[in-house]
Amino acid sequence: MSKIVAFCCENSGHKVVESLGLSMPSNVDIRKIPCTGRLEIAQMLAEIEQGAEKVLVLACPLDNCKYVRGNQRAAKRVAAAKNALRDAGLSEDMIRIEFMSSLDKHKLKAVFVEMGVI
Amino acid sequence: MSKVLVLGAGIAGCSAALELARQGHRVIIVERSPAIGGKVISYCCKATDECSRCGVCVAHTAISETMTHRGIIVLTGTHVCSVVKKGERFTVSLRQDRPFIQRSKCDNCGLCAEACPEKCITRYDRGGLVYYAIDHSRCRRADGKQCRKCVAACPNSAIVDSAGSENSVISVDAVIVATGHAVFDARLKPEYGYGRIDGVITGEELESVLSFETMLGAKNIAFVQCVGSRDPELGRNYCSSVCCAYAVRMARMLRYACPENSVTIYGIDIQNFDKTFSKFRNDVLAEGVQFVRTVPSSIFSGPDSRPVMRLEGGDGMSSEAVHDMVVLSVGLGPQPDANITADLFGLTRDEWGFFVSAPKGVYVTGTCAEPQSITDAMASARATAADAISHLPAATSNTKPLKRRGKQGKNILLNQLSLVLGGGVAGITTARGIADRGLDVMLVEKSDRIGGRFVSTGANSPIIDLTTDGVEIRTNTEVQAVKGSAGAFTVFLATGTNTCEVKCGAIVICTGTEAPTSRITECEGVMSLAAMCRAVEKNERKNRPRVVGIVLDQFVEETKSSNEFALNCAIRLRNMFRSEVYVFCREVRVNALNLELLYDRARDAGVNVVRYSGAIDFAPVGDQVAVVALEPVLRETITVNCDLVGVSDVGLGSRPDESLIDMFGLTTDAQGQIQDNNVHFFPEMTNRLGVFVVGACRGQYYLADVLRDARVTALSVSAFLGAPHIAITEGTPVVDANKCALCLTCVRSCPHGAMTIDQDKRTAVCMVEACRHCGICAGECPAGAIELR
Amino acid sequence: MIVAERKPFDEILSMIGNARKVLILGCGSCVTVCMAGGEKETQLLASTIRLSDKKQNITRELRCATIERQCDKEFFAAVANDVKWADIIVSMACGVGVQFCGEVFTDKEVVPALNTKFYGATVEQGVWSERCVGCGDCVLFKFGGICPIARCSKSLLNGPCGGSQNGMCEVDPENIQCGWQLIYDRMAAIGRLDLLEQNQPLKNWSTGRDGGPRRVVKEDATL
Repeated sequence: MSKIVAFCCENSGHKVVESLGLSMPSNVDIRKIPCTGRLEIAQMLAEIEQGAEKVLVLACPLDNCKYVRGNQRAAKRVAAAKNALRDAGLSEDMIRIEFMSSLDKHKLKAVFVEMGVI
Repeated sequence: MSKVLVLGAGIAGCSAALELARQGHRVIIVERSPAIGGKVISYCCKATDECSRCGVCVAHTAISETMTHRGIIVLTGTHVCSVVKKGERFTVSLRQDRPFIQRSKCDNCGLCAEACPEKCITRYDRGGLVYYAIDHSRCRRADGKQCRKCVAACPNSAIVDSAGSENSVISVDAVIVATGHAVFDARLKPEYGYGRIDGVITGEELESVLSFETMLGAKNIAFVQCVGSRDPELGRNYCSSVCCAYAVRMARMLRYACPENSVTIYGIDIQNFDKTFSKFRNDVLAEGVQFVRTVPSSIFSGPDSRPVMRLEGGDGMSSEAVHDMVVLSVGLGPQPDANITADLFGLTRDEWGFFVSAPKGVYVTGTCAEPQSITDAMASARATAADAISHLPAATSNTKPLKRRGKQGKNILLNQLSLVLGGGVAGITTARGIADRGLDVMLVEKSDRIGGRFVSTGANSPIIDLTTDGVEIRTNTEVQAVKGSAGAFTVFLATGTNTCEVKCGAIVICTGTEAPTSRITECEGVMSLAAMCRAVEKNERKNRPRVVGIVLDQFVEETKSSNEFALNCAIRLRNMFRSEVYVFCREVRVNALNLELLYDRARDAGVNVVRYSGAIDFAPVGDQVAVVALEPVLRETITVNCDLVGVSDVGLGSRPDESLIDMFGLTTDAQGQIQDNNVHFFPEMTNRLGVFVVGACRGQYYLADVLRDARVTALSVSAFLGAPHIAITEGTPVVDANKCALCLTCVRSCPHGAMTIDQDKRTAVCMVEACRHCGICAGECPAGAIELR
Repeated sequence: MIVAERKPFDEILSMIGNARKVLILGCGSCVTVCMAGGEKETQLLASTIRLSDKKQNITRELRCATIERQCDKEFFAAVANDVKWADIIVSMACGVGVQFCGEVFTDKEVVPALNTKFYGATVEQGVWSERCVGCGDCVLFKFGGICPIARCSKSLLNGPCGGSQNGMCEVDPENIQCGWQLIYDRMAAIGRLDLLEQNQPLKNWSTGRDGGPRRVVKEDATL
């Protein structure tokens, strides 16, 4: 099964992942980060190099970053990473950012369905 | 060490408990239901890609923290049987339903739920909040049967079953009542067909549906506002404060989740509920949510069994609107058994049944006292905790000195002086609160007197305590520069030509907004509402004004604060001069408990409230000023010739001092007010640790809320300075000096002002005391020189 | 500092061509500061190349390294082994660094990954703008500290042209301020408008690029 790497902000995405517990798809690798503002472009690309079929970034909703603007920075870096994928002749859909709060189990499930993970 | 009983484990109870426990007091939370978290746990996140600041996520974080705090015991399924006051303490007897889960032993393994034959043990797991709850109504033991399956299944002996020990007695120093509210039973408004007509649901029901799915199936959704609020016929002539907020937020979310949805909000006055409300509402409008300015007279089932609303237009014509789903935005009221709680603790209640006052040692907070949003309930619970703490015997500090880490382990001593900037109501109250906690505090005021721009509106005006015992006051003083960071700021002050340096640990900004500089209108005879009020107060006008116009919403969507001010002013004009008074506004903002009453009183006193759309024109007519407004229902121009016109100028001068914002490196919201419009910061935090903000400079004008925030801030400041050290946790940035190019990227991008350049060592360094460990610096550094360790 | 920006990826890839061992060499000075060729940029470029290679089934090895400065020979010693290994060096330094790298490692092909743009300053994070053209004969004292050569699109020395509109230059009214407006405002602010009354003679460009490749010798510093 295809491997997906999810970079999860510990304030939102990671809480959602934890609350999904056993219903988390097994092919999703979780990387917990303190804030999506920590995430570097090369980190996302490195996961794809190492075989991840898709990279998912789970950030807090805009205006809800505990650290003011980490999620805005992440959105810009995801855009830059998508550019790099295009440069490499790959589909930019391999990297995706989703903004969701810690409560949004159903939204994450819907994202997984859309991505064909479950 | 003192002990406090908190009644109710909703968000208000939990917030109060957490604040008490953080200050070293022991807390017992008694909750009668098996669940923890109260109503908020069934509410949904209302964000699109953008947060709409409903506060449900931060509430979950707070509740989860409450559950795991070592100083807090949460007893669920527990009832208060009696309360006896003995001296300064209260003896409270409790009865706890059996079996119950001992929270301190439970590790949420779930074996009990699997074992339960009735499946009455359920897991709650959302937003970082995890627990199991036993529904006693379905438990076999409730029928008197024997069953010990859950007890036997628990590997940690966390489930207690022992019969005969249901009753216990505790002795506490104070009681905080936070029993919450009941939502309005929509069946009591039978014309809306709730419970009879398919597709008619309540806002509360929609909340819980949207907690689990975003697609409703319904395409055409209507919200009906003020169901069980602002309704004298139902004896509920108050605004519930929260319904506009949840309706607009959910409407926006439904449009976003499913763009083919059509969403319409039927309401009279949309209350101003957001820090940048004008922007928020414009965004919502742009996203396609429709607002219709009326509420249906009745709802019935249409031929295809869809709900049909009958609408009476302002022109006297009635029409019908068909929707797939009608959401009744039900208001908040007191709990049906609030009288029992009131009797137990000796609380008085207002005409609607909300708790008003409590005997010494008992405090009420949250929605049992008045309808409140989640973030407001959290703030007022913290303010209540602050009040309680100041009357409790001092807690012994239970915070141990933290272990220093690695090279960065310098011992950061916190300077115990606090500096409050701005001597208005917010500044004075905060400074006094800090002084009451035994800390040194200095209040700096730019002008030659303290008191700020607060204007009395006469007898109805609240009495402000402007005493400043224990506060060092410097008037005619301005801040020139600031250096350092949390716990060790150096502030450069100038008094006239004298300058001095003040070292302080925390700074509270209460500088309000700049006075408007631009004129309201070129038309002579129009003045600001505050100036008009002052003139009337001093009775400067010897001639009694025959006709007075008061204009709101001209420059900004006004808040409840301006509305209260205008209505008080109007009533006073009626009483003093028998003037004809016209209040022009786009919408009446009454989203605080007593404002609807004030509005009624104004109407009863003969004040005319005229709604207008577009802008108002002013034209001189002889000695008078013609106020020309477009009435939206009649679509006619109304002209009133006034002797005196007062226009609210809040919107003209609502920006805080920009030089101060730059000096402190503060982030602002879309309206330029200090503090981002971000639930994580409400009400007092800024992006910089150790710098707090209160009052108008963060967009809060409503006096009661400013006073509340000031109490919260005083507590925050003392908690911040009271900690022996600043916690240095894992994940502190460490800069590799060999790689650092001194490019300043980290300094510029750190949201907390924690990165700086060490000129001697020629490298960027993290000021650990200001760092909040987000890692943004490491993400930004182009040299890859920063690591979190 | 020298401000540069990365070349389009395809151009870099075509320069690398069939080389199978590639060293991507970052520079820790100006181009790190302007976020074009520091350590993170080398990683990003390497990653993109690897992904592209994988997609096209190309077997290629990549190494990344960043040295303090590519405009001083001594710093290259740290990467001597990597250079020996590599078929080609992709230098992420400015044009100076690229050439110097080639001068140090004379037997290696060195290609530029950046377009060197100008001498500039950080206006705000992520935005840089030009301030100096290195003409070799500084005239800033005549113009209130604002260079008409670098800041005026036409490098006019005697006042603005007709393309100055509302303080902006007609070349790009959104982004380029009229250099002469800036000069005038600044001179007015410091009370030296009198200096502007003097006509400026033709500038001697022989100190600049027009005099051929330049060289500076500081006699007391030479060993």
